Order: sequence, then C-alpha cells, then structure tokens
Amino acid sequence: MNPRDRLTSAGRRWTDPAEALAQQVTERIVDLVVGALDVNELVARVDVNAIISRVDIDAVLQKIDLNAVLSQVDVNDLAQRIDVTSLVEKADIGAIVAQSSGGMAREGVDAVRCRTAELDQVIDRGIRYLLRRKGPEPPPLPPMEAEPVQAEPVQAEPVQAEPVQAEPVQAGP
Amino acid sequence: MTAQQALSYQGRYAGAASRLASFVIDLILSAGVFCVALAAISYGAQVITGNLVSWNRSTPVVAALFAVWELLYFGFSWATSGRTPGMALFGLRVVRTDGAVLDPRHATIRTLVFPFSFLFLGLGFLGIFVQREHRALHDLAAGSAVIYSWTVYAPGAGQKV
Repeated sequence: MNPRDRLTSAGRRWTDPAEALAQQVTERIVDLVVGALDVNELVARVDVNAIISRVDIDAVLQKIDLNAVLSQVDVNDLAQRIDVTSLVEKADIGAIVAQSSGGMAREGVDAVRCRTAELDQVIDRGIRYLLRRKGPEPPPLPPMEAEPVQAEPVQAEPVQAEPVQAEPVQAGP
Repeated sequence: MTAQQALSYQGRYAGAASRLASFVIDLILSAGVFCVALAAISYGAQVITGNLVSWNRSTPVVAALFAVWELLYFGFSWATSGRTPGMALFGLRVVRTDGAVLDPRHATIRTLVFPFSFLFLGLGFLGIFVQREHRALHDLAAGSAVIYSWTVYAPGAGQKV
C-alpha cells in the first residue's frame, strides 16, 4: 500500500466523524436560532413600501423582453386547458343577460311612458290655450300603495308645495 | 329621461295621448284573443261534428259575442287591478276621484257606461280633452279618474325609487 494512501485513510478516520459532528452541531444551532426568531415581528419591522419605492419598475420592465417571453407561451395549449364550460356555469351568464336585458326593457318602457305623458301635457297646454283657461293644474292624487316592491326602495325627494301668497289684511278706517 | 321626471308624473291625471294609445293596445290585444278563441271553437266544432264552421264579422252573434267579450275584458281588468294590459304598458291606472282603489261596483258602472261614450261621434270622450281632470263620461258616471301610476326604478341600478 502506498504510504500516501495510508496517510489519507488515517486522516479520513479522524476527519469524517468530525465533519459529521460539525454538521449536527450546525443544524442544531440553526434550529435553535430559527426557533428563537419571531418572524412576524421581523416582517413587521420591514418597511415594504420603502423597499418597493426603491425598485425602479420601469427599468425592470425595460429589461424584460416580453416578445421573447410571449413567443415561448403556447397560447393554444393554454386555451385548451381552460374549462370554458365550468367558467360559464360559475359566471351564470344567463342571469347576467336576463338582468341586463330586463333593466334595458324596463328603462325602454319608462321612456315610452314619459314620452306619451309629455305628449299629454303638450295637448293639454294647447287645449288650455284654446279654451283660454287659466289657473293651476289640479293637484296630483296620492300615489297608489299597492305597487310591488322588487328591490330595496330608495327614498324619493319630498315634493314641496308651492307657497301660497297671503293677501295683506287692510285695517278699517 | 330621469327617474325624477318619471316620479313627477305619478298621481297626475292622464291625458288623451296616453289613454288613446293604451286603448288601441287593448283593442288589438282583446281582438286578437277573441279571434284566437273563435278559431279554437271552429276547430273544436269541426273535429267533433265534421262540418266546417266559419265566422263572419257581420254576423249578429259574432258581433254580440265580441261586445260581451270587450265588456268582460275591460270590466274584469278594471275591477281586479284598476288597469287593463294596455294601461299597464303605459303606466295608467283607474282610481276613485279621491285616489282610492276602484272597487268592483264602480268598475262595473264604468264598464257599463263606457260604450255610451262612443255615441255621437265619441262625444263622451270630449271630457278627456276639456275637463280639468281629464274625465270622460264613464269616469264622471263611476266617480273615477285615470292617473299615471307606475313603479319608477333608478336607471341602471334596478332599484325602485
């Protein structure tokens, strides 16, 4: 046996257990340190906003070659992975369409009602002019209470009555 | 058109344009239903008897049936909800002159007098134009009036105002 190999073998006999011991000691120390550390407190001390403010995002974005990144993405494969059916089921598109179309129809009907009411007023003004009728229009009747409530009611602004001008009372002679 | 504008009409007396438009809609709807019913009766009679049954508008029986059907259509609608489908479309409602709900008795009176408003070139309807509260002959007889009354929703929000 080569004397050099014999020396190396004798050295290993000492160094291997020492290395293993050192490894165990190191792991134990790391465990103790990590266990003693309060990570939450450490994170709380970190000013994330200050760190983010230091980052030049524009410079980072300029360094990224988005075209190169996108060219590596297989869009078809990505699209095939998307479960469109489950997405549609979750989104409940039928309800969304029904709600939006119902709202549009309601607004359309309201518009027609207001237009015919305006036409009523135009005709009424013409008749009043022809009949030379003066004086205020009759006051509106109280609204019906039997209207169905389909959503949370919104408080309407109160209608203010027109102030009545009181005639001055003249004192007698 | 705003919700506030629609709100401002509520409870006001309805004029000639709205009432005429709703009446035309009702006439089309009721005549359509009547024609469908006649066609169904004809088909049923043909299936049962084997003979072809045809209706003629000028036949007194058909005219009488149509008149009765129209009275039922308007009378039932006014008595139950104070509005016909055409009136509901244009946001109109028949009420008592004090704003109360039209009861079946006054609805019946209004229905029975309604045809008389057509006499003398529709003279009974003149009140809609010249009377301050736009009340026609059948309104005066039944103590009723027609007002704007519909549920106003905030635009886009789907909320009742």
